[in-house]
Amino acid sequence: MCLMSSSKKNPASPASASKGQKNEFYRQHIQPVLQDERDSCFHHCGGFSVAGLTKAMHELRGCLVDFPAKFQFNLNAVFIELYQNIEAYGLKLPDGNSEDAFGCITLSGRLSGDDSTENYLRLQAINITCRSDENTLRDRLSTLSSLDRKELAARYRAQLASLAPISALARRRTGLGLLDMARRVNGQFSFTLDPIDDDHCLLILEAEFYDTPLIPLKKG
Amino acid sequence: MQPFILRASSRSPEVTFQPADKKLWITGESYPENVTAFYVQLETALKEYFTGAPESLEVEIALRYFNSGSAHALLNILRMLDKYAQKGCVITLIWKVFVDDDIGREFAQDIAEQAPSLFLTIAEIEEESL
Repeated sequence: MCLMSSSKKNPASPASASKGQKNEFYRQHIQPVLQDERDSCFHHCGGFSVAGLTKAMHELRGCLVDFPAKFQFNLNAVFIELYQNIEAYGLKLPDGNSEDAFGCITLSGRLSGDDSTENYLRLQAINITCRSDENTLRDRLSTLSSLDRKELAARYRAQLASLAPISALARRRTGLGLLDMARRVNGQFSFTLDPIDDDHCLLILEAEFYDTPLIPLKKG
Repeated sequence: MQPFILRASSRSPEVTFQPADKKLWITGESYPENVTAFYVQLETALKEYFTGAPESLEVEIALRYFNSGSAHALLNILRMLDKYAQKGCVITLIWKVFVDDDIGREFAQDIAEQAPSLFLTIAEIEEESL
């Protein structure tokens, strides 16, 4: 049976989640699709919690500290949406010992070209979703990735206009997160959605930022 | 009415509301752990301000980035201000974005256009001043 992470009762610490990742499900399904950690400047793999975002953002900022502010802001904003997406809607590892949603986010890229147009940074986010959500999610992401910038903006405005006043129900979906990311990414915004067993799918979102300044990344 | 101030944290903006000066500033970054709980405090303060039937209010927003939940919360506040503007209060919204930051400008315009009775100015600023 597939349960959303929001049904968790006793959130465990990220530390216990990272111990839990060394299980069979992780080795079989997650590890093969992960970008090589050695090629990344930022890598978070394990439990995703509300409080954990603060630490993760601190580490990401450390990688990008020498980049122009505007470049940092868009990348940071996409990272926040990716993190919160996993934390709010991702599933825990089926055979893990943490109640936190499990996921991996990696920042890597190519910063060795002769001019900035050959360089890019890529955020890759991996998480587990319910197989029952596969078709809805696939339709939504396919549509988003087919829209051009103007169409994304129009979709964002329409979604804003449709939002009811915010209520005390803090964790309501706004439908803005994926649109927000797609608008901020000036390169590829792509997804892979692979069924891995009867109950689970693996969702991989990749956001590429082109025209990256030739500035060395610092290890986070 | 007393000034209303929320100090900035690593995830939430500095909010400074000076009713005597008829000015509200929201500056920094916005992706609070609990978006609703954070912005509802400001909503409450603003509602109290409008019970005095003020003639005007100047709002200045300068956010480096904000998450989708914060966009919803800001939308909520601007819609509320829009209702008071429709009743006669002159409300000015100055949204500060970086020079050449097309994406930041677009987000500001999209959210602000949901509150058409406010007098909107999008001002460009240099990186160092935000």
